[in-house]
Amino acid sequence: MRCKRIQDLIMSDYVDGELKGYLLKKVQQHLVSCPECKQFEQSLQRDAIAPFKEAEQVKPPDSVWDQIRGDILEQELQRKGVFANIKNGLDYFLHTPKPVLAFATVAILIVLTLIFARLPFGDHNGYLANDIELLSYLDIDESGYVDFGTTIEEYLM
Amino acid sequence: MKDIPKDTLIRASRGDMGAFEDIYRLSSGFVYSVALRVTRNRDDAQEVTQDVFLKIYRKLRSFRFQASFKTWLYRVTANTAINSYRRRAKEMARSGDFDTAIKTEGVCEAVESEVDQKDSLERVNKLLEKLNLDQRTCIVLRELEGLSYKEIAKALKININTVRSRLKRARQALMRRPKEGGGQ
Repeated sequence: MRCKRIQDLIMSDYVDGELKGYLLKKVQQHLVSCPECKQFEQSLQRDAIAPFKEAEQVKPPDSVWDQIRGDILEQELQRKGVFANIKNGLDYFLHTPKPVLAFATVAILIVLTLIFARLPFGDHNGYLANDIELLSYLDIDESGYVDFGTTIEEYLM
Repeated sequence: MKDIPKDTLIRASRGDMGAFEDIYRLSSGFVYSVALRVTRNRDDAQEVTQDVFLKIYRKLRSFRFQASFKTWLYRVTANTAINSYRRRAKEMARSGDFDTAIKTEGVCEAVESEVDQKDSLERVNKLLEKLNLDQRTCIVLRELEGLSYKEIAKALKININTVRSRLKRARQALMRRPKEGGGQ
């Protein structure tokens, strides 16, 4: 195997322990027999691998957790606030005295009845107006005589 | 990063603050370390750490425990840190020389405050300065946090060969006398 390919493998899979089986054996055998690649591997370990192994893990300051906890508590209070308002509204409705509730229900029903009573039969106002017009037109008196209006109408009738 | 017991995750998902603090104690080192190395700024690293854990807290309720919590944490951490770095880079680019600014602030503060760790931290930071964002992220996850190629690929949502390639290029940049080619 060419040194270029070996060095590519050394810089990635070999040094990271990702190389297995046949390829691992090949690289190990090559490193025994090739001083140049062996030196390359040692330089890699010294310059690019070992410094990170020696590094200690850093930890965040305590203030970070304090800030996180504070933000979470604030979010929880806000969330509970929204739910509390909804619950309060429901409680108010459910615990309102029954007579008041009954009165409110009846009032709503009356209003709805009035609204729907006037609606579905066309122009109700127009219908009444026609009735009124006809009644005044007929002008029925006590004798039952139907006054058909002007002399012309009387003539035609 | 240590494994987090499933029971702890379940209790935290139900709002148990004590369990959530346990999760924080077990994983904050990883999150902060990645954030600090990627952003190269202590204030940004702290902000990233806060953002990551607030996201975890919000999303934990809907976490189905089918995927690995670790993988999810790696992904959130890497993305948040990368986004923070990019945001800072844009701000710096608007106001001046980014490279000069990042070399003189932030990372030096982290180093100077840790007297015992100064040498190794300084050395690591100097090495990471040689790398671009993609290479730096891969090297941090691999060398400092010990993630496998597969875990890195899942965390960064990239192909495993891309992980391999970025690590190779990063190491070439880190070596004093990179050698290519050679005899048979």
